[in-house]
Amino acid sequence: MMRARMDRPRRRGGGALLALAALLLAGALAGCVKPMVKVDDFAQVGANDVLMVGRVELVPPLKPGEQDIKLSGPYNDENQYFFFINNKAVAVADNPDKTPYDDILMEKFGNTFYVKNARRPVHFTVSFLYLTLTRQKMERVWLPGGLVVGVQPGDRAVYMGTIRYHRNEFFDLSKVEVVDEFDRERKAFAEKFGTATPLVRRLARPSGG
Amino acid sequence: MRKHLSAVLCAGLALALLGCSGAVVPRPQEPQESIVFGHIDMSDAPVNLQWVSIRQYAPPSEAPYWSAGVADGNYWQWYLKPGSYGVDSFGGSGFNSNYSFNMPRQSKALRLVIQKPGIYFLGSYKYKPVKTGFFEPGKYDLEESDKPTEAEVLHDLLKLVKGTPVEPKLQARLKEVQ
Repeated sequence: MMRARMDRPRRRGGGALLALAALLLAGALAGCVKPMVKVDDFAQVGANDVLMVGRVELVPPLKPGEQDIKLSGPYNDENQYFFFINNKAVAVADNPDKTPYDDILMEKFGNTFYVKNARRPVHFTVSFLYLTLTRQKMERVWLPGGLVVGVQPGDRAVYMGTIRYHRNEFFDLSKVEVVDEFDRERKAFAEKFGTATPLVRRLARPSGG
Repeated sequence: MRKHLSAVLCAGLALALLGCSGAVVPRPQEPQESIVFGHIDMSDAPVNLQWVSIRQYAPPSEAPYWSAGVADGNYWQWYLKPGSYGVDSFGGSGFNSNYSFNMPRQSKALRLVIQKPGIYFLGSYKYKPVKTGFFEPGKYDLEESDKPTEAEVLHDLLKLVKGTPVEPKLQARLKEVQ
């Protein structure tokens, strides 16, 4: 028997409430937990930090018209994902919204991210993207994580791979893989930060959490 | 006054929704168009089923929303071309509120991929409320149901489409599934 559970039956005309909810979410992202700091200069990486390098991709990429993002704000860009990051393995809640997280990684699909984190294993728990974010409607899709990057003592810059989600128009996933594009990323890393600090390959793997 | 205005707006919305579909079968089908229909039992919901919105996910469209005709829990669309579709939302008007129930994109229910023109039954589902905490947002389940069957829904639809171009197609389909 097919059974589907849906959230938020809501009364129509609740646009103001929805906008408020979206603002509160944005506020939560901005206030309670700061998004992971993007690094442009290696001097930003503290003595106890590690620079994380990686990428998240959708295959096929989002097409024009697949998203309807009309609320303005720093967190409401198109083609953007939000990855829940944890210091330890965390199970995703039935309602993924309620999954605890220590940090949020925000980046655009297909872009290489350079973010700093405390030097310890980094868990990529679960992620989402907005399909619709308007005054009338908020629709998200969730993408699995359950990956850990085994950062080691002494690591200063770590390459974790490309998390590649193969999906259809309903966002059913046919495959999730971690792709090793180390050679390309090492070259880009050296162009951005120089060659004084080596980029170490530590591909994300299932965390078993 | 506010409630009166609300009632007027509700009536206007209902008329607008009826107006969207106009006659039950506003025009003959084109050869590549498919009939899609289904049933949602809303007897445990706060409102009856009064509207269903179907969204076209592929191919991309600047007008992806298709308003379905609705009667007695049955809903239908006569004009869907090959592509990927899903029920985006459904709902109705209560005493002083309009309810909209959104279907998540990743739900496996109430969706289909039309590869060739035909007649497609999206199934029968029953709305089930889910108890949540006082401060939690509401939830609901849609459970697949054996009743009404495709034949029973077709039987109901045939009463609505007498003398229209879709009648012989639905009759033919009824013979297949009976």
